[in-house]
Amino acid sequence: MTPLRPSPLGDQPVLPQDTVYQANPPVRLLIGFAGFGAGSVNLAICSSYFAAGAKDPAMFLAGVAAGLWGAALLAGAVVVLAKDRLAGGRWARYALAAAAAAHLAAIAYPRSTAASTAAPLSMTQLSALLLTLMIIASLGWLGRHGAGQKTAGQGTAGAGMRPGKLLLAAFAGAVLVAGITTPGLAASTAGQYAVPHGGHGNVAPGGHHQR
Amino acid sequence: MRNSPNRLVATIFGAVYLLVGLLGFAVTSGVGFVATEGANLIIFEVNPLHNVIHLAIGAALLFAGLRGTDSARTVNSAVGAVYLLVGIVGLFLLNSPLNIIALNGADNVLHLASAVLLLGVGLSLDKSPAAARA
Repeated sequence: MTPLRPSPLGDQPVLPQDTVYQANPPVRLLIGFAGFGAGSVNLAICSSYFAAGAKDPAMFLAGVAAGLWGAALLAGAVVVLAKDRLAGGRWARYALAAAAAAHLAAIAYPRSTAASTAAPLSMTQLSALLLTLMIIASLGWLGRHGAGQKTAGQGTAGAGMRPGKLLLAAFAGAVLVAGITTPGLAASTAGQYAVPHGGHGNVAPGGHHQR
Repeated sequence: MRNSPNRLVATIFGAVYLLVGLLGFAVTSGVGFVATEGANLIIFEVNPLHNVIHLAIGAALLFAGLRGTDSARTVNSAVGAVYLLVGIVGLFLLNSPLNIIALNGADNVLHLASAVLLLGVGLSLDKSPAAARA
């Protein structure tokens, strides 16, 4: 864990920006959950770009960028949860803000070689945008509220919160993230062509249930 | 047990998955072992292989939850990672008969929710002092 550094404003220590405070386990869990969700959705965006524009260099590059960003988000979520710190520190926050702007631009100006894939992919981008904003908001909340709790008690994970309540909060966060992630994955190109499920709502032409 | 979120999660999820695995067999009579079209258990589609996997995961989680915190952490993380993979891969089995556990949309939501919860709790809570300092 990165050590505390002295505050320029006085004797009270200030937490470095890459520290995710242990005093707020539910918020830290939400950051990890949203990181897993956003990483998964970005991998779906990557596969959609590859499928839509295999011969278009711009689409290919966008796919590569989405894939790398998705892998980075998954790795970052593991670091946040396992090591209690934000991998990349301040630069990670800038990258998150840039990713949110990119998702917003992709929704506003959809670019696709196949017009039919543009609308569903906007849903995937919207899902990624929501999850990215969830991470940014949670980090901001920790920055504002976590420092006081940490400096006051130097608490450990879960301090002051009963495990039962903590698990209820974690479960609510997990369902929220899964509820945002799943429609995003399903709306991606790969999701549309996935093996038809019980609902039979999105059967791909030529799928194994087609006669 | 009460003071360890990992043991609580492992025990509760283990009991629930064992129950779901047993109930699944009540609705899947006549369904092929690896049929891509299963039967609905409430809104979750299952087939016999899916039920067997639920039983195995439930047993592993329950055993780990009752055994101790370290075991619970390890099994929660491992099962969470597997569920994350299943939640993603479940959507990406492109146009093939590889959906051998009869996944549907509700399954995928539940698998992703289970994945993030188990992985999150397993990785971040009940750390030993040495691990927390690392």
